[in-house]
Amino acid sequence: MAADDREILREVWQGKLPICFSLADDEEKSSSIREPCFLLVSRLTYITLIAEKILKHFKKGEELPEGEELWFEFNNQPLKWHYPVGVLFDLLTHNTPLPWNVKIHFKNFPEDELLHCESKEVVEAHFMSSIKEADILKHRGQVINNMQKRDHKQLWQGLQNDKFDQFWTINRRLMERTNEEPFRSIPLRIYQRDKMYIQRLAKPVTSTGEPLNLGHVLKRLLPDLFNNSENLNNRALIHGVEVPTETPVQWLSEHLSHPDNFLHIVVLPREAAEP
Amino acid sequence: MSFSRPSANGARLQSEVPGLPFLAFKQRLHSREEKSTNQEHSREEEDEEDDDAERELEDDQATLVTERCDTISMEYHVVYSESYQVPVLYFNAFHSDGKLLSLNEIWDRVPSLHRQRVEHDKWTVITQQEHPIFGRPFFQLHPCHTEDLMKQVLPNSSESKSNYIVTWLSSVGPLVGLHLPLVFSELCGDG
Repeated sequence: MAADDREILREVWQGKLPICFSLADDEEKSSSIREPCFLLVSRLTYITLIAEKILKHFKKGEELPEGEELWFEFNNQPLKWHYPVGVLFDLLTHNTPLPWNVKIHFKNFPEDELLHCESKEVVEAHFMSSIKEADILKHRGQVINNMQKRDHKQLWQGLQNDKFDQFWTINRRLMERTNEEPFRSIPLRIYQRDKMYIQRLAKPVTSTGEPLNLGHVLKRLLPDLFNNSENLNNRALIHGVEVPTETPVQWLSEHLSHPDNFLHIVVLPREAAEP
Repeated sequence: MSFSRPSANGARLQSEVPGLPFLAFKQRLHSREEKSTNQEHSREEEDEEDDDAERELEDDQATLVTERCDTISMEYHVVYSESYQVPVLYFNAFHSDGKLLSLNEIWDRVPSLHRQRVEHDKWTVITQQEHPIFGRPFFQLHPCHTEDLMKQVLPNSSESKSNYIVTWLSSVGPLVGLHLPLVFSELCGDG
């Protein structure tokens, strides 16, 4: 990997968002601490991984009573913690003034909308199953299955502790090509507002070996939004950045994937993206 | 993957979603024992259309009586995973008060025959995931061992698809309380 490209991995890793966490109105009565909590949060992490800090601030580290569970909300929309923080931000609030104002709740967990997340083990299981699925797509699972259990732990610890080197020492192997061949498929998900994300098979090259770029993939998976004319009405964001559609998806997968090894692409109408 | 077949008690299986094959059924369990090793089924002749979906199909409701007298409603969906290229079983289980069973309760209900595996490596067997079509929380029976399992159960890969689904469901379903009505076994004969 070229030195410039390696720098990109580091830039992506360092992406952070200032978030202001405050108690939801209906929670205020029950808590003695009402001061909001300001945190600089990695775009790549899961919002429930900062639960300890939140509980320390609002509940002085006390355990929540039976039946209560921490959950997050923005604009009356419960935040799906299993999407990376940066994806939630781009999808729901892109380009609104910072900090991002997120409400926190302890009561009335919306279990018909959110996955329960009572411990970090839940996050770890979700993260590892994403990495595994991604490797099935890229290398038929051969790389992840040949790793030791401690390598799996190191990936998770790297993310959890925000340690770039710890993570990338192992992740490098997951992002390598086997015998110089491009990946079998590109692990990617496309998010749009108020819709279920799209996850379909996406090849990095044509049957004759020509590289496919982001534009090709968007046209195939979202033909109504990205037709043959200039893509004036919609744009695709990865890590909050509009990526040129002529970028090969193989390169995107190797450099702009999240730690879960998926490319998370947020598609927004241009007027919403640029208020 | 597509088959639809009426049966004596109105049980049918169907999967017709362009691009995303999908199949659903429901059952209601009253348990006589906490441990679901001796599951007895008596079917209720009850039909309840789900508002959810043109693509979703009500199947049958099975009843299983236990001591605690809590009626647990089960909802099962089978969705094809393009990544793993195998069918994946999603399910939800609700107490009679409408509250979702916790992941621990789901793990506890795994029959003793399979208990060892779940205790050893529970986080890679059943977890809660976002349903790939509806975007709602569902429990998922992880697909990563399905291919190996099916190679053992169905060594002849030229078997028909319907045979595959029924064989697979009757192999993994009992882990999570799903027992296919006998009528589906006919699909293995002429599928």
